[in-house]
Amino acid sequence: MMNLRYSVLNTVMFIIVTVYAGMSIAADEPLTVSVDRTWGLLLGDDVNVQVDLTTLKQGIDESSLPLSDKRYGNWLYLKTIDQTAAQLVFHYQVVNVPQKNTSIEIPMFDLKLSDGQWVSMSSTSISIGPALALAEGEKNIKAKPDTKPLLISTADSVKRLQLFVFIVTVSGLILALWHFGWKTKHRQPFAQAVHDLSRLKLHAVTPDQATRILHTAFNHTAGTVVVYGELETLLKQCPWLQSLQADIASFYTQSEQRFFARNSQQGPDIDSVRKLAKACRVKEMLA
Amino acid sequence: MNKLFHLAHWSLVAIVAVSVIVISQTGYSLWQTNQVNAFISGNVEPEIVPEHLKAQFSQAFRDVEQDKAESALERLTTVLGTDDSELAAAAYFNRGNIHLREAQAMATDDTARISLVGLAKQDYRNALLLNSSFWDARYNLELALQMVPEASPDASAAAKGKGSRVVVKAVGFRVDLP
Repeated sequence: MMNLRYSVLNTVMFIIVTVYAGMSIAADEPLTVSVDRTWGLLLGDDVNVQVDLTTLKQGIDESSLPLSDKRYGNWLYLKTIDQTAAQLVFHYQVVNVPQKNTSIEIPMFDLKLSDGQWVSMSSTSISIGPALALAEGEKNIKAKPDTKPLLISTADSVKRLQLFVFIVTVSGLILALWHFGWKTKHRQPFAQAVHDLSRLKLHAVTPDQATRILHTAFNHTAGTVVVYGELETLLKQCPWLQSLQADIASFYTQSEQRFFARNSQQGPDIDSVRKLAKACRVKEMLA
Repeated sequence: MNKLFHLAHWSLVAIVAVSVIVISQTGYSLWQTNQVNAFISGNVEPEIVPEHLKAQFSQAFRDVEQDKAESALERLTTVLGTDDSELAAAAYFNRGNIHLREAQAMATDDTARISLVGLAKQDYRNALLLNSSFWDARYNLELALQMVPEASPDASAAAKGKGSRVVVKAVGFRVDLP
């Protein structure tokens, strides 16, 4: 019984020690580091160092990352760090070069995991060197001159101006055609009527004049003189006027009473004539 | 249908009105820009330098040509406040050049030379941080580094073949306020 208890206890202890040791080893293994370009780097070149995080079960504690916008060592300046679940990317710039091609180590940082353990980065080297050959000394080499003044770009403003001039032109043209129609000879009968009635707005216009203008439009639409008794013919010929049948009939009735009755009565008023002309024009446009 | 046409008509009128306003504003802005561009290109010389930072940069360029280095440095430092990274890089570069020229004019044993070259290097580096393809800045920075090298003893040894590596190790930590 005692033996069994000891063997169970031994097994449990063995498992605990193995798991703990495994975890420690995992934490001690340095992270794999790769560089997008390892040789021929010159002053001002950008170096991107990728740190593989896929082997980690825990995430990196962001507060343990090194400060960006800071120079590390003699040669490199850390501009930014991009962090994703799979990798860290350190964006460096070469800010100093030795006088001969030299292999240098990328700065190594210890990073803290979210469970409090620390991991280090594996060591990687890159080769940097000078671009200028200064065998005869720097005095014989002239510095590059100042950058010349830069003009303010007007391309965007000009494009915007052109766009809005185009919009105004097109919109204005549409509005002009809308109000004044095409050439008079191409103008449709009710367009002409609306145009004439709106033009007469400026001058004194009698109800009789307005009524005659609208009669002319009906006559031109039918291609013949339309009288009150032949409204059916007009509507058959121009079915798009069907929906206005009641208004047209009312107009013709009032008109007949005004012009042809023995005791002349009040004819259609100007506003109703205009309204009917506009309604007919709308139908005419859609016909 | 009448309502629809009414709506379309007034929409067109609104579009025309808005467009006319935009055209007036853009036209005025374009006129102002052309005035500043005329100053920059040297076609006109008004008594007052326009406030636009590119005009200030242009004036700094002229100041350098007229040996007014102090005035040029002040103007270029003003220009560094710009959001335009191309202009800021150019301002850093030209400021670095002023320092470098002053250093080159000094005797090699003059102690002020080292600090002037240091200022020039810092300006070139800032220019390169804004635009790493700025080849003139790379060139002049390397020249400044040749005048006053920054290599550490370890690196010097590496260059001489005595060693091959310079290892920089830093344990990352932040010194932030809680």
